[in-house]
Amino acid sequence: MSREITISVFKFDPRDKASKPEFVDYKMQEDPGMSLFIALNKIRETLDDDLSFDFVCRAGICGSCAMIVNGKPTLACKTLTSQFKDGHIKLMPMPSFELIKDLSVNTGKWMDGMSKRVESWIHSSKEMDYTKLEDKVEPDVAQEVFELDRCIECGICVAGCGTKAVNENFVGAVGLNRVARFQIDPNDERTDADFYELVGDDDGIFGCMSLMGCEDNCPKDLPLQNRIAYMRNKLIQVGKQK
Amino acid sequence: MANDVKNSDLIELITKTTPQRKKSRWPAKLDDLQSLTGLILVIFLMFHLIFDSLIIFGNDAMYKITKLMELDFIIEGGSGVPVTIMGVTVLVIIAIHAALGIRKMPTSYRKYKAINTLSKTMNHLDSRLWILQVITGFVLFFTVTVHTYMMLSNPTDIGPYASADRFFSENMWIFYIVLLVAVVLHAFIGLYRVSIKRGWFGLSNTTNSKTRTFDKKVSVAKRNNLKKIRNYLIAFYLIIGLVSIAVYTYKGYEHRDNVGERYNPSSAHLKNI
Repeated sequence: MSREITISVFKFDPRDKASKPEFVDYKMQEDPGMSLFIALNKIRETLDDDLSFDFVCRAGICGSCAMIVNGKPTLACKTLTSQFKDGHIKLMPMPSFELIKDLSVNTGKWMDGMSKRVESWIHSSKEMDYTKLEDKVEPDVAQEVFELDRCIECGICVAGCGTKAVNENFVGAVGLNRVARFQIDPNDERTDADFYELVGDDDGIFGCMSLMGCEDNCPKDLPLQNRIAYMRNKLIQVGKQK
Repeated sequence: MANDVKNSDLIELITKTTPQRKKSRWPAKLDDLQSLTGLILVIFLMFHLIFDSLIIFGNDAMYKITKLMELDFIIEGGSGVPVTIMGVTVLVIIAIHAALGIRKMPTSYRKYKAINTLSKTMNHLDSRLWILQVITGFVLFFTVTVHTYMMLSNPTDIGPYASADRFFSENMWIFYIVLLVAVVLHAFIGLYRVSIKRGWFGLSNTTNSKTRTFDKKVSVAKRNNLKKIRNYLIAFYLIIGLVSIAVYTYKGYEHRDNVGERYNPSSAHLKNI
């Protein structure tokens, strides 16, 4: 027999002057294998057609559905309602990002700014000749690059970051992970001193206070602590140069 | 006068870069220095608290280490000067560490509210421990400064009777409990954090040897080990510290009618330690 669950959802439309931020409770019967994606759609179809939330892939790949579920930033599509034994689920949009409405936040705008800030593209002086094979990369190095490329930019590391909570301009683990990704990529000609120019300050690598909200919540299990420590040690060495 | 200020500083004021249009190297140096000063202070504290706790093994054990610190094997009868030099050095390192630590503190209502609410709602221990570090760091601004100044200004007032009098007759036992709890928590949570920050104790390698890729399980296991070590160190130093405070206070109570008297062991007795 299915149980009744209560989903408490943050509701607020910042563009509507009459709107006041509040948590609204929705009660429903839980279906077998129900994910939060299904539950939220059910709410919108049967209880509140005004509810806003983001989903695209429903498979933990696109990162659109990141939100705060019972206090923890996570992907709603990968979260089953059955995980919450008392049947109470509280949903909030991720802090640190511009709120669009209810559970929907503008991570895209933030990620775009971050990408430009860390110059998140291969910097090479070579003219690309598409008729020839690319230069070979050692399999182990390629594997490392691919590993860091698994980031889906969901924003969970930013939402769970204590440093970001106290420093609005902090580049976030996603940004530092990106720097580490290009630092190990042999196709990128940038030196550590070049990367220092991008994140060598208290809003960048030296701002990270190692609170681990990033790695502990990352839905893709990325080696964030390890790569941030790696970049920190590299850029501290740059700091010793003139 | 503006003329006294270097042009490079004026350029940085306007452009936030060096004249070569480069980012300042100072943030890197300061970050390194914060880790380094913290590490030195933790190591100092570990020895300090062990030496203090020798009182548990009797007056002579504590007396002997005190005299060793006063370099009595070089200077006849020992001298307060080495203790003062040590005190001044430690105070300077503490001042540098504190000045660097302030940079990270939440300095407005909005910032404090944000980190506090976030760490509570996530129920994330590492984030909550950081707030504890901020609080203990704040407590240490006052307590550790007073303690260090007391020691460096009266270096010969360290000994089985002199210290015991301070704990009981000068009512310092409350102060020392606050200092001990704050410094032990701050030091070992800090050591744990700097290890994560710099990838020490194996945290720089969390690769699965078979798959040759990052393995979250390896990372979690290594960090859990580090957490255990942190907790054991906190427990060990709190226990020996609190027992030492109790012993000093009790000895101070016993010695309450002879405040000011200095301990003077017989040389024959010392040989048996």
